Amino acid sequence: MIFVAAAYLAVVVAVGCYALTLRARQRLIRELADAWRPSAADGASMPRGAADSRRAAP
Amino acid sequence: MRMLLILGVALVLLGAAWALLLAPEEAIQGVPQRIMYVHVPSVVVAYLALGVVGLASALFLHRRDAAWDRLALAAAELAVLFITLTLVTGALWGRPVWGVWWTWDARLTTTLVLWFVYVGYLALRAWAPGERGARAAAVLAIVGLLDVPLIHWSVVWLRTLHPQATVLRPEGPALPASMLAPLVANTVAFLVLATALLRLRIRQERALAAAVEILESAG
Repeated sequence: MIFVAAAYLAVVVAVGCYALTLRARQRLIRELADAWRPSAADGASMPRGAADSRRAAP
Repeated sequence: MRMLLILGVALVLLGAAWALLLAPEEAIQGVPQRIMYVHVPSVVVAYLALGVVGLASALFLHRRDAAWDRLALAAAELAVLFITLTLVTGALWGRPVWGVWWTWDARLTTTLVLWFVYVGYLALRAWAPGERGARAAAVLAIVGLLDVPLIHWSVVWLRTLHPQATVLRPEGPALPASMLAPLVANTVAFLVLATALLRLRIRQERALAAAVEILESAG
């Protein structure tokens, strides 16, 4: 019985870890895309932080 | 897409319940034979994923369309995942039945070679990004497929500890219907789950390509 339980555990661990990896990667890609999304104001592509600081400048 | 993933997980759970609680116990091997219900579906998914890798790689080399390359990469990851599961569940089945975790039997060895080839494929993709790396990996993926018929026929051509095919054989399945039905159900469940993971992975690669394009256009 222990071998059968271990086999099912292996499936859960392997597929679960892969699914978690996909989720983490998805989050990274979304952050990357958000950070470099083209600015609607001037049509230029730049980091979000950079765009904000420029608008704040006199 | 999330629905397909939930459906896949639900089917795998139902399949596990059928295999562990309802399927009859094999007369000679006893309980360890129930590992078949995860071992065989893992092999089937791995083989189909490898088929997708080979086809997508050939189409990428022919048409130079990055979409085929993304499909090949996504399917290769799944192939490695399920070949790993095949090897692990095989070892867990071998220990109580054969008395050993591993033996350098023709089928086991050729399967291990297959695992190394596609782990190598993923390493190549990681270390050599870009068009050249993708082309070299596509060639490796196609050459690596030559090992699949060797694995399949190794139990016929050579004397091996691993048993001969009991389902995919010319005379038809050697399993009784009470074991064949849960095996088919588990295989379908694994395929649905793998399809959901494949679609997620392809979507990621597409999003990554779009993000890289934005980055490059930004200089």
